[in-house]
This record gives sequence, structure tokens and C-alpha cells, in this order.
Amino acid sequence: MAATNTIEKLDDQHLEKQVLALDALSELTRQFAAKPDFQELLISILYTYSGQFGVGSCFITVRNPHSKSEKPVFAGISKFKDFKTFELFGAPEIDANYLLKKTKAYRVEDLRDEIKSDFTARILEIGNLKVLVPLIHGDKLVGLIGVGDKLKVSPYSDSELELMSSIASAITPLLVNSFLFKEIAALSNWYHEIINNVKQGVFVFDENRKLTGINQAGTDIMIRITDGEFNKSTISNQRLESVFSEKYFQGWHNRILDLLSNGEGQSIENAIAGRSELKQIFNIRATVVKKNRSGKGDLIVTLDEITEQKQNEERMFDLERLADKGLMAASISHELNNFLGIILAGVELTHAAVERNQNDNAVASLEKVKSNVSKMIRYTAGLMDYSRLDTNKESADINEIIEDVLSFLVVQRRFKGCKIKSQLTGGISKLELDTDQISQLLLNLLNNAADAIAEDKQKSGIIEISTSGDDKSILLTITDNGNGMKPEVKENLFKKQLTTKKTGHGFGLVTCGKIINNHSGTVEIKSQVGSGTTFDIRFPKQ
Amino acid sequence: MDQSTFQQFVLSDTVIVIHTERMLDNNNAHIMAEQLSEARKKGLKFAIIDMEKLDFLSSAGVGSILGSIEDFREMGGDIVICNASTTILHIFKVLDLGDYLKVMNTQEEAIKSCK
Repeated sequence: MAATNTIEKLDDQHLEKQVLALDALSELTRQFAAKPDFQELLISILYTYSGQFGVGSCFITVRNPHSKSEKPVFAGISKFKDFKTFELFGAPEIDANYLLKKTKAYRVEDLRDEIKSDFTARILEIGNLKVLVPLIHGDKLVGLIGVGDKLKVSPYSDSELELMSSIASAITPLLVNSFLFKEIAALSNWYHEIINNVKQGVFVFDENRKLTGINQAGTDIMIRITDGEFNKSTISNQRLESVFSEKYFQGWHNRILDLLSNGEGQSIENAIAGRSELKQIFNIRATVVKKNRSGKGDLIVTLDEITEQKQNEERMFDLERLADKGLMAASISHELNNFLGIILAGVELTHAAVERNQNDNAVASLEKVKSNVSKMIRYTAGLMDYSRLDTNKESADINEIIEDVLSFLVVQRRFKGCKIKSQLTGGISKLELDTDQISQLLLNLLNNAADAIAEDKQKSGIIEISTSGDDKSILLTITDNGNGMKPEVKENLFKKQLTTKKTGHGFGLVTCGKIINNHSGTVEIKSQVGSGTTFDIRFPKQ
Repeated sequence: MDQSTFQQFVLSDTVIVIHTERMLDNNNAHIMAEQLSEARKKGLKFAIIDMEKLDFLSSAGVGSILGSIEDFREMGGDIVICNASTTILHIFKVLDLGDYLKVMNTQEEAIKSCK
């Protein structure tokens, strides 16, 4: 009877032990969920084993199953507190595969008859170690719990070993996960560091468009723009339109919403924020990041401040305009020189005619002088808006314009060494032409031809000018037998300010290009160094 | 989450009394272990744990005490439990600690036994 009672009692006791163990396990799981502090988890596991089995000293060592390079972590209580883990587990010569053969808790003395390895010897050296409990995850040994003598100094029963193994099986997944948690926490910290160190302001709004995150740069921007009104604690959870309020971010809210409805990954350029003197300029990017398939997703707004960049651009623009003005002055003086050359020639003709008592010639010359003075006046008037050539087209005969220009050029000093041959096809159609501009075009090209000839002093210079027409267009050709152009000069002739002349500045041809454009014309240049140059200009008939 | 420490009174240069709270489990087991360890380092040979307030004791709670016992006994001292309720005493029994842990009924008896 007494025996039965004792057995019953033992069974009850065994059950109660298991219940306590279960309680302990659920506690561990709860603690792990609430506060995954790895070291604390290890200590809790040790206390659980200690209390559950009446043991004073035990240790646990665990290694990260995902990372071979990480050293194993160790914790111990009482006599095993200062135990050097590498002696048992971390050193490379440990035959860990051996341990895998035993997947459940075993008594250390049982090792005696097993493989005689250094590991075994070491284990047996440590007098206090009585039981080893392997922590197996899948097919890997991820840790070991070592248990010392029971305080009662009685042997461990098989059922106790069973219980130890059960607890170990339950906690091993917790430990493996905790490594992942550590990695996630480390990653999370790392990303936080990165985000807080980027130059751009990063704002995160949840799917209800309430602010859930802002990085350091973003905070700095808000404080600057709102002149200190921004408060990090109050701004959290505020809606998009409150964060980018109309007071400081005029129009931003609507523009961001428009941006989102137009598609992802786009940006708003040159958005202005701030009040009065504190205005700053930003490029805004807005992207929606979906966390799962359903739901709106988070809105990430990135602000890139470009105020300084814009200020620099403005400065550059100013400098360029100043440079242009300098260039313009050269261009203007070039054109005016053309006119003045003609006027001077006219005056000289008049002078000569008066001396010879050729009144009619004198009057004719003076008329031409007057006409060119008027042209000059029209030209300088047109300079008010230098970027546009004032174009006044009327129906005109190109041959007449050519003859007009030639009559004045012939007497100029520049053309002394040249013979000008003209072959102007009669009866070609009239075109819509701006007479002044075409005159300028001719002047520039003929002057260049004369200069090219002058540079090659040996030859006797010939300039040929001809016109011809077909049903589609009228062709104007100017040829000289001067020193020609190198290919790279030819290619860039109308494109850039270019000059090969010692005293030139290369603007005449820029104007020529504009004039040809104004008349929808095309130009083809043939040139060879030593032989000469030909300009073929085609004007389409309208 | 962490309470600072359990209430403790140093009675003499060899005896300290530590009072538990309502629970001794995973959450505060390490605090108990810390305090016992500190006491031992200070040279106190006897640690009396007054469990008058204790309602709930887990394996880990027990473990936090057991973890220090050997250290105290090495010094010629001990850890003595007192004022434990029947529930708590039952847990000691289930865990087979009845023969091993020194348990007294009252604090006075516990203090007396510390020699």
C-alpha cells in the first residue's frame, strides 16, 4: 500500500516537474518576445536549468548557425561562470561531428567508453561537468548546455535527462531566431545611420499620409524653413498637408499629390519654400513604397536642397551674358565697319566726282551714302534686341542687291588686289528677302574672300559671284581663289566664333549663319588649302 | 521593466536579509542573483531570503538562488529561506530541493541559525 502510494506520489511529482518545466518554457518564450536581449536570454535559460534540476553550476554556449566567422557566445553560472568556452567549443580542433552523434542529453561519464579524442579528455578533466545537452538545429550543432553536479549530489535519472532534452529542443529555435534578431537590429541600426547621414531630407508618411519618420537632414530643413517653429515632437503623426503647410511650403501639397497621380519616381524641380528673405529651393522626389500587395503603402518624400546650386547657376548666367555682351560688341563693330567702309568709299567717289565736275556721279554716290547711313541706323536700332535679327522681308531681286553691294566694294582698298567676276542669271524669280540682311551676308562673305586672297600674296586674286535658279530654289555662289580653309575650320565655320585671321574675331560668319537661317536657306562650303573656297547658298522659293 | 533591487538589510557583518517581491521569475531572477553575488563579495556569509510577499516562484527564480548557494557554502555560510508559503514550499518539494535547501519558518529562526 505504502509502495503504491509512493509510486503514485512519484508520478505526481514527475508530472508536476513537467508542469513547472512547461511554465518555465512559456516564460522564456514570453520574455524572448518582449525583450530579445541575447545575453539575458542565455542567463534565463541557465537559471531555468538550475532551478529545474537543482543544479548549482551550469553553462551554455551557442554559435550563430548563419555565420561561421562569429565566435560562439558563452554564459555560465557559479563554477562555470569564468569557463573559457573555446576550450570546449570554439577551437577548431574540436571534433564537433562527434557530438552530433548524440542528439539528446547524455552523462559525461558515458563518453569514457566512446571515441578517445582530445575533446573527451578535456571534458573529463573538468571534474564538475556531469551532463551535456546538445542544441541541435536541423542537422547542425548550434550549441551546448553543460550541467554540473546536482546540489544533492545524486545521479541524474533518465527521466531527468529526457526533460533536459525536451527543454533544449524547445529553446533551440528561440536561440537561432535571436541571432536573426540581433542581425536585424544591427541592420536596422545601420540603415538608420545611413539615412541620418545622407544630405537629402527624407520624410516617411504612412498610408494615411501621417508622418512616421524624418531623418536628421529633414529635421534641419524644417527648422530652417519654419524659422524654428518646427518641433520634432509635435510634428510626428501630422498629416502631409500640415507638415508641408501652405504657410512655408506654398503649393507643395498639391504638387506632391499631382506627382503621385502621374506615376512613381518622378520629381518636382525648383520648388520654393520659406518666407521672404529666407527662401530656399528644392528638388522634390516622391515615391510610394508598398509593404504588401494590398494597401496604399508608405509615401517617401525626399528633399534635395539646391539653393546654392541655383545661385551659382544664376551667377554663371550673368557671367555668360556679360561675355555675350563683350562678344556682341565685337560683332557690332564688325558690322558697323562694313557699313563705314562703304560710306567712306561713297564719300571718296563723291569727292572725285566733284573734282572732275561730274555732278550726276556725285549725286548718285551721295544717294548711296545716304542709303547706307540709313541701313546703319536700321542696324543699330535693331540692336535693342540682339538675339533677334529684325527681319523685314519683301519681294526682291537678289541680283539687284548683289549689284548694289558690288558697286561699292570694287573701290575699297580691301579689294584692290582682286578681280570680281559676276555671273548673275537674268530673269530669275524674285524672293521674299530682307534686303538689308542679304546685303550684310554678301558684304561679310565678299570681305572674307578678299581677306583670303590677301593672305596669299602670290596669286592674282579672283572672286566669282554667280546666281542661278531652278523651280525649287535660287543658288548664290561665291568663290575665291584665296588660301582656302582647313577641314576643321570649315566644319565649325558657322557654329562657333571662329577666326583664322590675325586681326579677326570671327563674328561676321555667325551673323551670316543667322541670316541664312532667317531665309530658310542652306549653305554648302567647299574649300581646299591652297586652292580657294566656294560658298553655295540656296534660298528656297516660297 | 527592471525594478532596481529587492529590499535588503545588512544585519551584521555576516548576515544580510533580502526580501522578495510578489514574483520571482525570469524577469527579475538575475536581479536576485546579482544581489546575492554582491553580498558574497562584500564578505557576508549568510543571506536570508524572506519570501513573505512571494506568490509566484518559477524554475528560473529557484535557479537564481541555487546559482549562488555553493559560493556561500564554500565560505562556511549558507542561503536560508524563511516565511515561505505552502505553495512555495511545495515547489521546493517538487523540485527535490527539500533535502538540500535550508528552510526556516520565521525570520528570527533563520537569523538564529546563521552561525
